[in-house]
Amino acid sequence: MIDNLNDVSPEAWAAIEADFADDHAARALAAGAMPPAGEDMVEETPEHPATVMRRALAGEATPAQLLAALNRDSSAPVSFGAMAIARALLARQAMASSLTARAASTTTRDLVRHIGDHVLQVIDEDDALFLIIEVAARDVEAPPRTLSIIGATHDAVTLPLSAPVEGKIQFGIGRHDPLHQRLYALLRAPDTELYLSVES
Amino acid sequence: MLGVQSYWSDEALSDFAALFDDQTDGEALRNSVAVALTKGWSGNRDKPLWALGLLIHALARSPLGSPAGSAHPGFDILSHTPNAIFEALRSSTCVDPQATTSAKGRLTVRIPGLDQQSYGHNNVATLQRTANFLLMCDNAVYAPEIIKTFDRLAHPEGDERAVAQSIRNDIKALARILYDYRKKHILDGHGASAFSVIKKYLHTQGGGRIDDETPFGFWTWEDNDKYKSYGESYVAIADFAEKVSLALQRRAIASAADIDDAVVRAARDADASSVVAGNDNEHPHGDGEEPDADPGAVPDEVDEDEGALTFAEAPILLFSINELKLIGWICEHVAFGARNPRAFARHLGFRDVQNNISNGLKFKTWKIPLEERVTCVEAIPYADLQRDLDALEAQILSRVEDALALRRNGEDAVGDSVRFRFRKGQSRDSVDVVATFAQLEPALLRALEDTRTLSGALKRRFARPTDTYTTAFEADQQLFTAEYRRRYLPVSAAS
Repeated sequence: MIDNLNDVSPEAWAAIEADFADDHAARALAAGAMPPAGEDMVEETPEHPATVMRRALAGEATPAQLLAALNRDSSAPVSFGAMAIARALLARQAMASSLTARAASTTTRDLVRHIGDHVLQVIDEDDALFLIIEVAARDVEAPPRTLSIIGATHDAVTLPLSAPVEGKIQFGIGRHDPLHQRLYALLRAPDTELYLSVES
Repeated sequence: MLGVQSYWSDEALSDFAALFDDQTDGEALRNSVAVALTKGWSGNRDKPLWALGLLIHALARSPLGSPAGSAHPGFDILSHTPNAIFEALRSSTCVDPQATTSAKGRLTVRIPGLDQQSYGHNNVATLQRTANFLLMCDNAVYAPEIIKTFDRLAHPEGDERAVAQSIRNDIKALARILYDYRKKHILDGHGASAFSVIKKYLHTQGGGRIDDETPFGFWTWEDNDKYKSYGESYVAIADFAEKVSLALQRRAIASAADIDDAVVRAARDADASSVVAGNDNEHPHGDGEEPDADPGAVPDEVDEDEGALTFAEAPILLFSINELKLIGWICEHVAFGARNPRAFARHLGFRDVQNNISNGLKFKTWKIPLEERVTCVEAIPYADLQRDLDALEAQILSRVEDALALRRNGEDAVGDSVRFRFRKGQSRDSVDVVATFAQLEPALLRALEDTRTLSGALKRRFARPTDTYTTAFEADQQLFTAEYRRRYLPVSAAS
């Protein structure tokens, strides 16, 4: 095919080398990502957090699932950027969101927050924390299924919601549940973001 | 594989791997996205980002686009399938930006005051993964900025001039991010040293020539510490040979005696300009590299020859996964393979053997014991390989005939003589079958030609009385067995 490489000029070699290095880089990147070929592939590779993010971006996972994946290891700091993606996705599909609190304390212990036209009431009992969402009249037929809560420190909690009874959705959590303190702190903070979504 | 992989940081490989689904995304898509992220298109590293920026902008004005003021319209590019995006742009009646469909079924997006860009299905799929990569790479550290950038690309503010400037700035910002990423994650110098190893082999061992024996000779050369498998060596030598071959052609054109010959002059000028365009963005990862300026006069037709990816990303399925793989290997280095059919036959014939040995060593499970596996019992006899190529050729030909039947008879031909399956999630309601076949026709013809070229080369090579399919295969089986024994059996004895 090529009989004499000495026919190639030094200038041409420089261009070939640069071009080859580029090809090499692209091939190395692709080769590194190839799943094992052949019949002996057995091992499941652990899921990269970015994989969940890609699914969420492609609409194959809900933002709530993304938040859950990001918070799976609570000792590890959550990536600021990943949280930004989760927020953007939540905002895209949220039926209502409350990015900054218009919290109005009714009593010293209870809180009321407005999420769009919906009203979230937080009732702090001695042994439990109750969330009551008054669903806006026009959404009673297709009520929210998920409440996503994102704090300023990137702590995030996603709560599945049950069907409303007489326009109200209730959610209770006992004081000894590990989630209790997190939820309480999140809901107290005025800069916590809340998203209601019909996606479950 | 180690030699090639160590070129990128582990984080980069992991960021990249997360873009793909092992079940549904093939090799062709991985290669295409890797090229878009690494070397760009048409010799311009930033070209894919221009294409991405224009795509986001045009999509926002298509039936699929989110209106200005809605939450994160820049994410539209990620929320729909490539086919839905392509169809939305095709059906867009918007004049600003204007999307038109060419005779070949490619889509061209034109934005006033900016370059135009043309797309096929496969480009849309590649760009979507590129956007995904930008958002998620480096633990999504660039995501806050990129989300804003995508949203602004979808709905920039101001008059026509301000819009063009805004898009330009945003695309440059994306190019800068990708540039920073490459700089951070590419381990410098590796590509150059791989090049040096090949060059050294060819000058000291290979007699300054590249032929059928070069990939094997290079693979087994003691100083080759970069490429661990025959397949990698084959691909590297083929890449190398194609570039050298191109350089020699340019030289031949440049020294063509009759300088007044208009054809020669035009060819020479075209080559000279492409050399310049290439050189502008070379020195890939050195400190001096800046993101490229506007693509300007760079031709807007890109990557039309990604045959396997074009078929894999089409909304209808014309080929099986194995056929697509074969098409990919054929189209990738058709010129090199046709000139070196024995080297090509070794590449395909012994590919599974190498993969299975590598996986076995990695995962410590053996369907066939290593001692037996190194004897290449799983290699594909060259006569079988020839049958596979002939069968593929027949299959592609029948698809070409389908395309012609559809062109002649329109939709009526579907189901009658033309049979195919839709890609998952697609149906006759969502896909214009006639238009899709028309889009695929150039790639089909190209794949047919490439397959015939390679298949014919194999036939001629093994028609020699001294080198039949059987004798050549048996000889190569011994050659590879000896090499695999040397490489792998001591490892197994020690473990």
